[in-house]
Amino acid sequence: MNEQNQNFETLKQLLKLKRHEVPPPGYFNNFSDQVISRIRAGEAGGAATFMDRLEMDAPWVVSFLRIFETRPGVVGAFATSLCLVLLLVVVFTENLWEANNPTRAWELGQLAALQGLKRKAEQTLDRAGRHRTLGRQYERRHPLLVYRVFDCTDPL
Amino acid sequence: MIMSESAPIVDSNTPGGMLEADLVKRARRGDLAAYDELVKRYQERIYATIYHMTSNHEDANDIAQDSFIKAYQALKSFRGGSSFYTWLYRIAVNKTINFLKQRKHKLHFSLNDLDFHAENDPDLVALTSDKTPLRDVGLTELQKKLNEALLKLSEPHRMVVVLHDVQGVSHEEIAEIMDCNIGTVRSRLFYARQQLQGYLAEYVKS
Repeated sequence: MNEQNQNFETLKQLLKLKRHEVPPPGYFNNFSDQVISRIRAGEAGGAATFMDRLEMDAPWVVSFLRIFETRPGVVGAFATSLCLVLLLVVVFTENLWEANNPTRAWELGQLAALQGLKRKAEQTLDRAGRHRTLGRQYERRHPLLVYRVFDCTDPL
Repeated sequence: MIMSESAPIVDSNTPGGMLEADLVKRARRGDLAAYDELVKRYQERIYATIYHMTSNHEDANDIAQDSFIKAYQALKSFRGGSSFYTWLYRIAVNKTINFLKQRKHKLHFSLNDLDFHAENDPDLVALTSDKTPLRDVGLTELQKKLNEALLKLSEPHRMVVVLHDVQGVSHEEIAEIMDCNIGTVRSRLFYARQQLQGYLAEYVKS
């Protein structure tokens, strides 16, 4: 650790060399003039754009958006995951809505009742159909008895 | 170019003698003379930070000018929650990092010359004495190696080293400028120094 600190001290001394790197002589004499003349020339004319303000207030948002500029693959991955999330949200909210909405629940109850009635009606019809078939078979075997019992006209 | 330096207040009626807060107030009202004074106060620090990040004078010049123009445009949104220079630094830092991300593989050196004080700097004299591996290396070569090593660091790590070890900005101020906590600044600094030590092993080992 001590050796590492010693090395960091050497490194820090070495980094001081950077402080001696200076721009060409007289560079800063005109710097502010150039900035002010660019502002006067209208580069700063209008109000700050939305992106400028966003960068000022929430730089992390802009940094996040810049990732898309530099890495196109991330755009696809992000769009796909966004679609998946959207789909999940739609499915989840639909289920939740059906479970919690009283009108919808009443409608579903009514639907179930109607479906039950329909099923019963079909069963009755089916039963009636079966009885009719049995009746016809009996009539075919014992036509005279049928006509006497039920007081029908003899077809013969 | 170290942040702890402060400009002396001479005459409060001229822009040169005005307090920063008054200059900002006047600049917000469109007073370009006041803004000119603000630019003059911070131009060297802002330029130096960007230059040390890019190792390119032309790029540093463009980004520094753009940062000051952008700051002027956004002055109305400056709420005074932090000092003006911290806010200005934040703009310059964000602009520089965005620039570096977009130009990741197209960076090239355009190094400034070393000033004549470099050869007499006691730290550098100590480094290039007979007992160190740097004795046979010229300062210009060392400058090149150092810049190459710095460019190998990621932008946030390089920024922390530049602000702290080169410009002398405190951990607290760096945290405010980079919008992160002090622990992050410290860990980035430690990691960056370790990385640099590895890249410059032949020069740093005693």
